[in-house]
Amino acid sequence: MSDSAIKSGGASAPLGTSTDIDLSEVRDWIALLKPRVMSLVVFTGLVGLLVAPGHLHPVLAATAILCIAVAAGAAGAINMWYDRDIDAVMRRTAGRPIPAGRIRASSALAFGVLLSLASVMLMGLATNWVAAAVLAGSIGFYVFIYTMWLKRRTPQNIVIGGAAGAFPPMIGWAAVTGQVSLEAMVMFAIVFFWTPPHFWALSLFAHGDYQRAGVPMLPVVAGPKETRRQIWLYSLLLAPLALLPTVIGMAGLAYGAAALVLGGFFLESMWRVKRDAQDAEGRSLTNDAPARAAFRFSIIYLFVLFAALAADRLVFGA
Amino acid sequence: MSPVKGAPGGMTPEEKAAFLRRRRGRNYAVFFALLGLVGLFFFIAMARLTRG
Repeated sequence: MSDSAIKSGGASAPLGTSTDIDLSEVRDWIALLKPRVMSLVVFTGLVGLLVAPGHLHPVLAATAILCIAVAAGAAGAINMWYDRDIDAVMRRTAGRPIPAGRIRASSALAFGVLLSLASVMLMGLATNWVAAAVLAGSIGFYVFIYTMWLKRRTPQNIVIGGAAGAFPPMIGWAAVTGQVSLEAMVMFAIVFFWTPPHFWALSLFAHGDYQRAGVPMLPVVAGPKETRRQIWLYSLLLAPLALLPTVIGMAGLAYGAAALVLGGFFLESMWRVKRDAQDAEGRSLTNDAPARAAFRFSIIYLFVLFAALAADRLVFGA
Repeated sequence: MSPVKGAPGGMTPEEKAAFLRRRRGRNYAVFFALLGLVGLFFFIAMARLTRG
């Protein structure tokens, strides 16, 4: 595929492999929903729902979580439709249902749009329309701001685009309270500032894929040395930011202690990335072992941090 | 073998069997999704009715 086809955007690429035979299996349609990404989205949404003051009927709470999961999956399906040209040239994504020719691009788009509309309507009917509006905003942000606008244009794509992944705890909170308050924004900010070190750690050892696809990820555009510096700067912002729930009285000292310890480990992990043995141009001499470890730890960090927030509220009643 | 409804012609028996298996799988998935949706709407209605 030519560079011009990639730079002009996925929507101008052909609508996938056209065939009369439907080659798709159920697991291909599930794969369109990016289930691995969904787990973190669902978990942070659930924590937002659990820590919010007030009560939501368990059936409605479960429906809200289902809506968050389906909306995240729907946005992922639309993202796969738009990015089918770059997915085809990236080793990591070439086996996805659209580039592999098992699902037609137009079918994936219809699937994504239908699920987006259904999840927003269901959220509004089951909980409230503030939560539904924030859910719709998160889908729109991921599809229009991140996928269609930023991803192919700026190395800061995941900094601003990362906001899309930060919405779920805010949606969970809004589902219970019917509003977006300071506490919801704090949870949003934690995920927002966690995203750059998390994704840039991944892009440090997967930049070959992004380079082939013409995606201007930071290591491709500014080099690995600058990427490590930015990872470190965002980590320095995240560690104290994660203490905010205790500072504003949203969580107690148990959460604060957990955030402090986790923040220490997070900084240590990212410091190893910054100090990785490298050549004059910043290329890792260790096959990016610290970045791989930091990427894995960053996922654990967010899971445990949000689990601590929920435990603090549920166990200690902060 | 009788012709498979909806299947394009020129398929080998193995391809026809795979085609049928995939179609059956998708049909079951849609059926259970719709069934789940019916149940969900019922329980949402009950939850909202008993809320206040």
